[in-house]
Amino acid sequence: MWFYEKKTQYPINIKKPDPRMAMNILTQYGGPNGELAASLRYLSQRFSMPTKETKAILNDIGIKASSCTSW
Amino acid sequence: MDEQTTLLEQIMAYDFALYDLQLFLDTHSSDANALRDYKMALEQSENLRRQYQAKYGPLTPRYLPNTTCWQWINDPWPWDPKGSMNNVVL
Repeated sequence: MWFYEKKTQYPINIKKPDPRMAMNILTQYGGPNGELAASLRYLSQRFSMPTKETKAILNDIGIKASSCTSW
Repeated sequence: MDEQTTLLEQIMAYDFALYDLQLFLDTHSSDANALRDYKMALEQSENLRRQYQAKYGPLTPRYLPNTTCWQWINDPWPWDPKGSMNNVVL
């Protein structure tokens, strides 16, 4: 479960809009090797982690990776 | 940069640091320095968040300063910092 806040992790300031580059970046979010797919892998793999450290880190990275796919 | 943006970017910076420290602490859970830094950043972040929300409105739907108006839907949103009504004709 994650909660939305009206802010980004890092400031964004698009000075020169570039639709083709935007398509590439969108693929990095939602594409086959994108952030969204990675987040689901982290969150699945955490279930088979043997130690408390690895459970926590896969949980925390997976949550962040899934929240990073939205603004 | 206006005051609202400056304040928000301070919160963002502390929250970024908090997330970094969180991951570090996951694998270094008894590192006293990291724990101290985490606590410091958490206090700063909460303090700035209180200031921001009192002045500029909710960062989350759970901030409810008064019960007469649902302020959560007000601009700005992160992807639309100036507010969307500038280019909408009703």
